[in-house]
Amino acid sequence: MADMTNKMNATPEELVTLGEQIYFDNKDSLEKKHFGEFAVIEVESKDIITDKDKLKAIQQAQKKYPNRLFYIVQIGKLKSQFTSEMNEVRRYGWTI
Amino acid sequence: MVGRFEGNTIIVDLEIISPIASDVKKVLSVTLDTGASNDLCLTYKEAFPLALTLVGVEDYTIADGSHVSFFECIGRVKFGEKTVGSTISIRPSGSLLMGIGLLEKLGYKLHIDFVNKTVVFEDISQTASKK
Repeated sequence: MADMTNKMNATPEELVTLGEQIYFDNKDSLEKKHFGEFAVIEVESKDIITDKDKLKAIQQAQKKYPNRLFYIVQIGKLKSQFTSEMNEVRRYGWTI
Repeated sequence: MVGRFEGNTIIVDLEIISPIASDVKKVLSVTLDTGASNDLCLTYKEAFPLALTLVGVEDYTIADGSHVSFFECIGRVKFGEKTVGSTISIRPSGSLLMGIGLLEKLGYKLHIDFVNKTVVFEDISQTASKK
């Protein structure tokens, strides 16, 4: 796997991997308090910004972390974390 | 506002506007996808000339239950007399899709007559203000 130490230069695939990891580290708490809302995750700080309105959540994240790219997911939609054994079901829109 | 049937597909014309330059805009014919919860999905070919702002990647669960990650942008969309901020997923190829998230933002109620092949978008906010 590529070095993900410098997360600001992470590839899109690394951004997904890191974002997903942060989401699953906080999954129980997020689903309990914010089920159905959108989570916008800044992977370097591991900060998670939530809102019912995805655009508002993104705008809040941009204000707090200008010029960063975020991992975005609707809370409760991801059922299981992807692992190397499940790579066959993981797809990236930019390669389809 | 009206849409139109092309075969069994409902098509609407949306004006997509750059979030950073209001004179950069284009009217696109998009397919209404009532099974999609997101706002809008465009291809790179349509999205790049519109100078949309890339904000990250988003994981989606699609109809077959699998997860797909798309690049996510923000822009503005005009439909009828209304213009709203919108999130826009982009991908290399495929259909241009309008999801129900955008209809919700616009405040439109959708009336579809499958027999007479008519599609009408009712502005609920205007209806409410007249009452």
